[in-house]
Amino acid sequence: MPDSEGPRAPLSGRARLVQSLRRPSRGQAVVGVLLAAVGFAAVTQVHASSATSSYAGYREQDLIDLLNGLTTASQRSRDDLAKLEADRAALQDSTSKRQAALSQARQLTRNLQILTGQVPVTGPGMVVTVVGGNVTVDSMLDTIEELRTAGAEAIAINNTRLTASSFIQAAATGLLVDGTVMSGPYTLRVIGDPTLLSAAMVFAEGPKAQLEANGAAVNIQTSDKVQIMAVASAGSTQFIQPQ
Amino acid sequence: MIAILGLVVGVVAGLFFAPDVPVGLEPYLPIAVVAALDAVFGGLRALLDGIFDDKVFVVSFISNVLIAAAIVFTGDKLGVGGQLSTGVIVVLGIRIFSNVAAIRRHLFHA
Amino acid sequence: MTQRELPPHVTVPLLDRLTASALDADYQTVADRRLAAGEQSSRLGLAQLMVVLALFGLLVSTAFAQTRRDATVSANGRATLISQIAEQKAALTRLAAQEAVLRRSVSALRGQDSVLNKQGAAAQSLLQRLQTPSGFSAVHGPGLRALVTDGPPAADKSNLVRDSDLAFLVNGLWASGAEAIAINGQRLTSLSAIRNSGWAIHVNGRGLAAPYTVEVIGDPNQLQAKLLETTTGQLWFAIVRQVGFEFTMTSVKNLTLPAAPLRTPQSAEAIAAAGGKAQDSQGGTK
Repeated sequence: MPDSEGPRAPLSGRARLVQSLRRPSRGQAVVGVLLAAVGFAAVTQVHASSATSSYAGYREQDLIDLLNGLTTASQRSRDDLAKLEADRAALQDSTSKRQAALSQARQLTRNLQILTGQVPVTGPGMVVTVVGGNVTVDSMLDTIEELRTAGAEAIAINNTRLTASSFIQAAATGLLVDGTVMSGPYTLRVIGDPTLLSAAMVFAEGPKAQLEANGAAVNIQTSDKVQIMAVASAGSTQFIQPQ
Repeated sequence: MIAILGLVVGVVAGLFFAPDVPVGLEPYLPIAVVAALDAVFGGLRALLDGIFDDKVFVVSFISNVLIAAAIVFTGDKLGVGGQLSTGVIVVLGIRIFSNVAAIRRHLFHA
Repeated sequence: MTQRELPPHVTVPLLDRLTASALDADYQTVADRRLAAGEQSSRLGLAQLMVVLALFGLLVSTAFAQTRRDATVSANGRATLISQIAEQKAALTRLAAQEAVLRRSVSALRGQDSVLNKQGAAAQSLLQRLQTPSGFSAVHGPGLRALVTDGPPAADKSNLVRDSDLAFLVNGLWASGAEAIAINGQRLTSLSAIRNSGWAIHVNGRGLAAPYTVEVIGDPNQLQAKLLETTTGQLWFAIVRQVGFEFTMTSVKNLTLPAAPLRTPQSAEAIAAAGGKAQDSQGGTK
């Protein structure tokens, strides 16, 4: 606490500050006005320097250096762009080649799936029904060979789809086709050229004649749209290897 | 008073004749002016201090101008022209400030 | 030990020294000298003073005038530089944007390429699994080589091997576990027919002549055994005996069978399954 009568002890800085806040004087007013001017000027300057991006403070050499720096950066950017363009061209080439190869492989796969009986198929063709009589292995084999000669692309006997390795065996009540027992009637669904297919059945001493000779009734129906829903399962192979 | 007259004559002559400064000397002109300012304020302070000498004034004027210009010229040749000129201006500025402060003390007793 | 007093130019900081020596020491020295000589401390030689001040005035006004003149020229130069700088900055921004776009597209393409690569590999592997047993690609493996020759000559040519005879043999071989068959180098597929055209047997549309080499890939022992056991096989042997063909079978460690020419299906089309995709092959080689 300051002594009002005796010699004053020197005030600490903090005490001085506190005292000045408590007792405003003329000196403080002057300082206040000047500080107001400083504050105003400072804020104005900040606004001015942030608003314009002028190069007023730059010497000519600085400007030249800046320009050179920017030009070099642009050149580097252009080089990068050129390289990226080259990359893109190469990648476009590669993807188009791969796409073509992929389409080709898929097309081939689709065809093979049809020919190996792995998918249901539809198309123009013929439906043959063989009812009654005694259908022998021999006559069935013959029929199949004739149909193939006539360009059959898919054949199904009842619910069994024929493949390259299909075989016919004799069974007690009828036939075994690829190991499946069947007895008449036999429905052969064939896809191919209907004219050629029916011609392959009906020529003199051909399959129809043979079957009828054994007592069967043979009905041949050509159609624009024959559906074969039966599919062959991909057999397991043990010895065959791709070349 | 006559001294001030001399200054006025010089300024008028400069404005009237408007001489073309040779291109090589152009960059050094501002530096020379600041160096000259330093010498002039130094002289004015010496006058107010009571220790003015015209010979010293002349010598300090000419040598300040030449030395400042020479320093910046060498700097330009070395490639640090901008930086050296900044340094010279800083030093000259400090000296001018000091001398003007002393002059103010003499004039305003403040 | 007495401490040597350090001279002022060592102890005093730089700025303080600059401020302290703002006035040339010469003034003081000359003034002291004059006082010592008994003269006035200050001397104003008006003539010299005037000249120097005139020079100073000239210097200052020339500098002002020059700067004003240069201002236009340098302003133009600066203006060009500044406009060039602005151009380059704009160019850089443009280039950076282009680069970003290109980078994205290259990265997308890379992704696409990699996906296509994987798809391609998968498609190839699927294709190979399909092709091998189909007859439309070359294969090799252990098996049998059977030779069928016409029987002893007969007037009515009934000794000649006929299409149906070979069909019986082939049927028997499939039933016995054959995995691939070729007759005289003609690979059998689901499209292959064995047909007589006149006296010649045609397979895959190509005419063949006796003797007929039937190459079979499969288990050599099983093939022979089953052919002999099964009724289908026995059908074949009955014919052999009846007509008098020469028939031999030899085991072969490694047979190579060629591919049959592929015919693209002209009439048959796959039916898309309910999900909208054609069924993929199921199962595979064990």
